[in-house]
Amino acid sequence: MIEFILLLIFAIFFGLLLHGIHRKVIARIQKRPGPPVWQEILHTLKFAFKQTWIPRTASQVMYVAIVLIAIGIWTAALYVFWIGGSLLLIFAFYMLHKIVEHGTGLSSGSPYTKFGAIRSVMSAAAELPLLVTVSVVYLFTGTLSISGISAWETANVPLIGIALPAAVSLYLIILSKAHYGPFSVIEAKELVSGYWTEHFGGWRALLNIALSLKTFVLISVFIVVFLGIMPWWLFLPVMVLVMVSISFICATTPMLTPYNTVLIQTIWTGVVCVYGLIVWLVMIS
Amino acid sequence: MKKTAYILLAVLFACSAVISAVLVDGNPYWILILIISVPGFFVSVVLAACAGSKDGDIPFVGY
Repeated sequence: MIEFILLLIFAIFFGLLLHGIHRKVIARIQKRPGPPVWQEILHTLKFAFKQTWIPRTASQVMYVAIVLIAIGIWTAALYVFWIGGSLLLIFAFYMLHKIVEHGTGLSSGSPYTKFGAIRSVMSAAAELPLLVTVSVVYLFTGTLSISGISAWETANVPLIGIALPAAVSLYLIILSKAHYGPFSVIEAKELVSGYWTEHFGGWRALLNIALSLKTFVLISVFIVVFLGIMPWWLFLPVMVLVMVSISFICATTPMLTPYNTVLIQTIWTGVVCVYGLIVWLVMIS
Repeated sequence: MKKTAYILLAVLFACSAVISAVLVDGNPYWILILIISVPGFFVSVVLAACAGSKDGDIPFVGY
């Protein structure tokens, strides 16, 4: 248990560092100096000690509970990843994150956050390819446990070579949830900070921690499921590399309209469904 | 650039991603092409979706 708590603390700080690197890379590509890479860690520490309260317009229980739920689901997701548990559980936690986004937006009573919450529901289009991803991974490996998948890859080949569309689907999920991305309509600037505009002070610090855990877990799952298990000294640079590639996309593309976001994600869902069907037909024949 | 140019670019990146993914088992260094191709594909797709729209030619939205 002590080991998991140490991993949790490390994941929080490393996730925040990844967010800092994300901001720095975007800034440098856009020829701005940008903040230092540890800025998100400093932000979180600063928010944690600022005065905080609950807005009068908020649904008070929901406003607080949703933050704790966010921390809870991503801590649980990290635990499932740590023990090499089921991929389905990880994706179930990911689906629960949708409730967090929606609940965070609706609980404060602000129109900005409500718009973010509504857009969160629309952007569910990005999650549909995940179902195909799970199916394709199972068709190839015959298991859905992360430890089983990595064992299969060690004995055979990395899944990224034979299941590229499934890997791209998970990559799209990470991109969709990255800050400042083309699909990040739920926190677009016309909504101030989107669904979490009204969560400030300590609440913002806790949400920052939850989102850093989310980034850490999603990128870790992507690497282990599609590239295979690797030593920690290689694993961490690969995590940074995946984050930098996401930052590159975020830096060079404008934010899409909600309509275009759903359109692109739905088209990709169609492509992946056709791919999954072909894999299934080949496997049963 | 026009929408068709971005679409062609997306197709090009998709092809290079698929080819490098197929070859990565034989030679791991193909992963480098893959790492460039997949983000390139997404950038091309997003820019293709924006091209020709009112704000589509603005490369960056202020953050």
